Amino acid sequence: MAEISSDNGRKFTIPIGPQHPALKEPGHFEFVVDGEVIQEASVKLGYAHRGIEKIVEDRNYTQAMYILERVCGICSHVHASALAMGAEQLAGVEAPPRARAIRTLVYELERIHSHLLWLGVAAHEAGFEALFMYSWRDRETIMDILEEISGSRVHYSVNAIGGVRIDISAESAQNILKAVDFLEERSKHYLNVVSSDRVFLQRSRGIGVMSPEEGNRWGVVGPVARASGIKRDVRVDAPYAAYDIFPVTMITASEGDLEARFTVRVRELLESTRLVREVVKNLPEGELTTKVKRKIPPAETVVRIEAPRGELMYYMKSNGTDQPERIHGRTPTIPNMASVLHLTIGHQLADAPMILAGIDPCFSCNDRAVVLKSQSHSDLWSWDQLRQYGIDRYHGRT
Amino acid sequence: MPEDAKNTEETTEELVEETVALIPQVEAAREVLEPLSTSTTASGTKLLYVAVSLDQLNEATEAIVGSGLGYLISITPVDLGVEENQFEVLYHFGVGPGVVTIRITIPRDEPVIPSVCEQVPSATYYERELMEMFGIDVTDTPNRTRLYLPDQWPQGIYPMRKDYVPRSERQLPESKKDKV
Amino acid sequence: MTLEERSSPILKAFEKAVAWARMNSVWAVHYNSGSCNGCDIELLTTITPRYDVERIGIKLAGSPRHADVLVCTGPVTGQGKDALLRTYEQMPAPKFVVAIGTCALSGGVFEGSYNTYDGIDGLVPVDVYIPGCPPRPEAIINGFAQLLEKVENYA
Repeated sequence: MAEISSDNGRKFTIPIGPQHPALKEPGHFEFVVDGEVIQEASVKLGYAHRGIEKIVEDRNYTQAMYILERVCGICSHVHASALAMGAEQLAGVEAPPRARAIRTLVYELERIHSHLLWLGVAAHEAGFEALFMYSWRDRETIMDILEEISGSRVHYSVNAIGGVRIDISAESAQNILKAVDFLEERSKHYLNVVSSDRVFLQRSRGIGVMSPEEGNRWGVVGPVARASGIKRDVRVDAPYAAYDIFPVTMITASEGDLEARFTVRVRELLESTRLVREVVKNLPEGELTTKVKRKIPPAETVVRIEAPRGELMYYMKSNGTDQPERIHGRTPTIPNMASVLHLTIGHQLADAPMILAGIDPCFSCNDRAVVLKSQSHSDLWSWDQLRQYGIDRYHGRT
Repeated sequence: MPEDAKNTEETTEELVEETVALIPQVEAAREVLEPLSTSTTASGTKLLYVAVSLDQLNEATEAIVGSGLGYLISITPVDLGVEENQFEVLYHFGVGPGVVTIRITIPRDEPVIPSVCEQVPSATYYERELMEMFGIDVTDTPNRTRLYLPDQWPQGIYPMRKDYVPRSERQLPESKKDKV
Repeated sequence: MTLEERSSPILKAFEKAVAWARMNSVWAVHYNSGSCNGCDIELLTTITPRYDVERIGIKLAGSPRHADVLVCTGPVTGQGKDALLRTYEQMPAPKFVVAIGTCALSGGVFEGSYNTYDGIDGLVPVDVYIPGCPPRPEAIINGFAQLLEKVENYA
């Protein structure tokens, strides 16, 4: 008979990713577990490393803006506007008030879209599929608005160097107000759900607690920091765009656990709806862009923006030509990731996906047609055609 | 091109900057760093660049982080080019509404800097990036493995250096070769 | 071997039944080979209530071993390449590949970067290409619909 050894010192390494059902982005995690309890955690990034910082060195500023927009499909506006703002600072010009207000409006619309997206994904991690489906359904409201004002659902391309490319018409303004009214109602409902649903609270209350001291040591940013009581929000600390005219109330919580991260984000949704309403109602009149020279004199600058996930920083250096010398970005996930791997230690393996999703990790951070060699379909489907296809398919089953 | 020449002419005029007082938090950081710095430049009221010598780096970091004045946002390496033969490493600290940047300069052919992980534990990610992208050796940093570059990436090739020729190091699939 | 070449009528009927079953419940596995998330969130949108591809039987599976279709986004990064190939190899035959987004088709804006392979079709065979940066959910569903035709005719 083989001997069953009770080797307590034996630990297992559980690799997760890069292809994994939980997160939609690639990252490779390794958890060393003793039984069910995590002892060590490590991450390998770089699955989404596309060498963007190198690419932008041989593009001009306008081209670089479109590349930076594709750093991340969830918070594309913050990256593109960071480059636009940086280039404006380097050239010594300022975007006109209306452009700054429109940028602010899109920041907040994007924050609503990103937080709702996160709420759904995090609920999915907790096995709360109904909340996933509801929040993603409501997210479509904001996607419709973004599409209406910019023409695209994901990469809005709102920015231009020296201002913005789009204007908010009176009709769009009405639609935006209608949408945020609806979303405010829904956000109140979600706040109620994440702070009172018993099953959900068992997965979030007291899990992954981070004290303010720990948070400061790891340099965490964004809602994760604010949920631990660290008062850090670039919109308040160093107002950019039009945040000096439309001030933000900082949302913080003191518990520092997953529940606090949920409530902080959902309360930020409410704050964002208030801001959107205020900006739309008080949109300053005037020009959309100022003229910026194509060649930008040699200088360097640092741009800080509060992305939905936290503080985003870009360092930019120009060299007197129309191409940047160096652009370096620091996305909010990097410091948060360092802290969160630390947090998983001592927790059950089953909690790890929730804790990871709790920081809203983003590893990467206008075409409408399908063209295929097929005769049977038109290149672009309308909503009705799509609906009809579903019905036909259902009836056509044999 | 005549148009280009005109543009450069106009931009040189704009370079003249007036000196304005720094905001209080950044001013405080400037005072703390004064004894360590070799030169200080301000850009606007919120941005301050402080050059320090290599062996003063840890002290300068401690001066900002230890006193609770600010936190490390990021570390940016800049390749000044083959002719200059220098790397710049910039440590950005968020100080209230402003950003204080500590600048160190190291020779390109012997790029070695000390780690600041003692003072700021989360610096490890930025230091790993320095090592793999620029080949800057960060002594005594806790983790020396690669963070972003693929495992099969050859040793000794650093993609973010200015003299790196993209795609010189690996084979593309047959069907994609004509694109290079 | 095509259906017509098979001799046994029972085998033929069985194959037909399998093809019918497969066509009505296509399970997909999603692999992100370094995309910007734009395509990924649009793909996820298609499984959520507004678009809901489950009504034509398409469902995201957790493991490549359970999947018929590999839905791939992104320009394929150096680090992501091996995982893409491994995911593809783990899938049971017959397997289909859908490439979503301009990056997955040609490398998109990242074409020429030191760490990308300019699209997935140099590495795995692709059945349906869905261009767009990112493609709209309607476009993705249209692509899936054309994939279903291909699945239906496969035997």
